[in-house]
Amino acid sequence: MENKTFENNIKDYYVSKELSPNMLARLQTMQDVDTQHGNKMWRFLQAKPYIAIAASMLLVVMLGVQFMVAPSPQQLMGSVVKEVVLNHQENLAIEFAAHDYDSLAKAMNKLDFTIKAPSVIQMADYTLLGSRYCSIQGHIAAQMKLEDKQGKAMTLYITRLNDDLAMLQGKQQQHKQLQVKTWYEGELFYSLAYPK
Amino acid sequence: MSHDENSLEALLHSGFRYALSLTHNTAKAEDVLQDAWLAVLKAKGPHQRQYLFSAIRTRFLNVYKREHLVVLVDINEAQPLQAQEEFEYFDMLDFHHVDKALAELRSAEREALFLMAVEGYTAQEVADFTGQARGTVLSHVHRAKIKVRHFFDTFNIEVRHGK
Repeated sequence: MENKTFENNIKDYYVSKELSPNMLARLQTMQDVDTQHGNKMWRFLQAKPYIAIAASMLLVVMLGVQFMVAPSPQQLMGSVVKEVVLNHQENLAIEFAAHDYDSLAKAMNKLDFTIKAPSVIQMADYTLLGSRYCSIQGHIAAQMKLEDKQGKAMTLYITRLNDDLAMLQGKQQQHKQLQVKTWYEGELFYSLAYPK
Repeated sequence: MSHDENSLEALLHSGFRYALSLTHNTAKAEDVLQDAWLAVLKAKGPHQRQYLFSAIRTRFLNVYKREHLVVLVDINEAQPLQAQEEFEYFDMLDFHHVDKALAELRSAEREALFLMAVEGYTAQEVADFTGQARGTVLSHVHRAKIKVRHFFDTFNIEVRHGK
């Protein structure tokens, strides 16, 4: 038994609280992608023009061998699947409760795209419960929570399509008792996670 | 792990703890933190504690004020502490009890307590950060201590009598 001051009790309590490893990894991933696409390198090159010239020459060479370093569709699919499964299993609370995509599209005004119901899912077979913000490969995304007629939870992710994600058209992969499908329609990339 | 990675990890854990002091709910704290972190990244803001805390506080107030979970009540009777009070607890009650005690507080009280006891802010620094009067901040902490002590005293009484 020991006597502790009030402040020490409170401090010890909060210091014992930490982000889950999954959540920490997710936030760090967002930071890593932002750094890669940020303007740190640009400021550096502006300050050292001779390095900028050398970097330009290197870029020309790298473009010639780009196919050797860009992620393969299999690698990218693996990465997306892990992210989607992680988000599904975290089962974080929805931020916007609604049963139709139009209402959620109006509510989620931080997205840089407009969410639309995918044509491949027959909406009559599922109940849309709501949505929350998330990220896919560092890009802001909408996570939609759905339920099938047996009450099984499914999550649908929607984000803006880019060249990398376009490689995942019509792909499917299983991971940890979940099946994950990926496809795109128009300018939107979709990924659906559902129990096997 | 590099120094930068250590710093980022420590920053995110601190942000989570601050969000937890506001929400007292792990899932809500993670939501608020993720939202705030996304905003910091999009704005290319500095990866500093106060900047992140400010983003967290803004999002918490925006979201939970809408849900009427934040009650903004003016404290007319500011009662600054006369002296440093120390509450001694003869039982080293585990975090489960501290958690229950903190659940009895309002978010503003937990926030003031957290910033002073955990982050080491002075009452004036908390006031400047939250836009409240120093006296209001001290009242929050004072009330928090009273409520927590009442909770623990009740618990201890029940333990002694085997209830």
